[in-house]
Amino acid sequence: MGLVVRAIAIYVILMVLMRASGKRQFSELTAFDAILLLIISEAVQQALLGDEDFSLTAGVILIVTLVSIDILMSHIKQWWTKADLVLEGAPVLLLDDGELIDRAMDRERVDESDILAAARETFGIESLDEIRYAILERTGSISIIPRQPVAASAVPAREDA
Amino acid sequence: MTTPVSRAPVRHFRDELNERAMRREWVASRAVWVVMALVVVGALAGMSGSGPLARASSTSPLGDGDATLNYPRFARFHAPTALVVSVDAPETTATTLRISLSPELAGQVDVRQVTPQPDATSLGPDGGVYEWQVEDWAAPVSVQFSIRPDDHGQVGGRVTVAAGNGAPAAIDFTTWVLP
Repeated sequence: MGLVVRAIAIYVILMVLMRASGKRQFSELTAFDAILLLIISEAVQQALLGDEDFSLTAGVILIVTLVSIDILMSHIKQWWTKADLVLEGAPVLLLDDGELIDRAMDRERVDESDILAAARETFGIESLDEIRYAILERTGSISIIPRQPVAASAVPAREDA
Repeated sequence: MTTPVSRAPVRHFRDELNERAMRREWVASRAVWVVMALVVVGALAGMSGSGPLARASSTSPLGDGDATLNYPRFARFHAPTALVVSVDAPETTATTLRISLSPELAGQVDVRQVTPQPDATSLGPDGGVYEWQVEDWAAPVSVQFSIRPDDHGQVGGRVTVAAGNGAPAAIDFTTWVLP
């Protein structure tokens, strides 16, 4: 029972901390963010397994519990819109019809260069006045809607595409 | 037979924006930041097992001197910590130091090591009894019980210290064991 309770507690704590750290915190991993995540996983491992329990059974119980909670949460989010809003948050408008929304940018720790970087990557846009809307998505990425439709040939090819 | 389909409603990205939820999220995340700061400050102060408020001492008169118990205010589940009993009785003529840990304490913590090793151990009405032969009382005598909490929440009990024929010192203590 202890293993399941611990897994649930760690899941909830991590979820709260990740939500509180903001949408942008781990959306695009810097080298240091990756190291930080490794350190967090190492710190959590002991708390999950307790001391001196390195059995296969314990590992399987933990994995099954964590994946089960995740599946359950995804169902809850699908069934109950409010839960989805609480657990995942809502998109945030950062630039509205060419106007920067300073308060939203400040609260979400996003600056003009982040919006410009997203605009460059997706549409090859060079300046803010070419952007109609910029939206911080729930995943932490920034979506750009340009003022003028951009020709397909003008969109830079993405390396990961 | 065709598969039933439903026409997707026309939705604009603005339909997904939720000003109220956004503001609540900002307030909630700031509140969690405050809690996180309190956790760090609490850990630095001593809730993590070391720090200025981590340990406390309690002294009780013992025959020709005093017995002091130094114990953790906070401990963590299954994390090692220690109870330190010091006896300062330079005038005593006793040759035996006897320390007992109350039975309820034995059920809540695992005594992993006693330093120095006792000359004799037994079980009495006051719980586990540890005995040492002491030749020189000129300097305070210290005994350390390395323990590991096996319970959550409030853990505590009584440590009874006796040296010679004088009245024993009974020291009660409480430790908060964090999960």
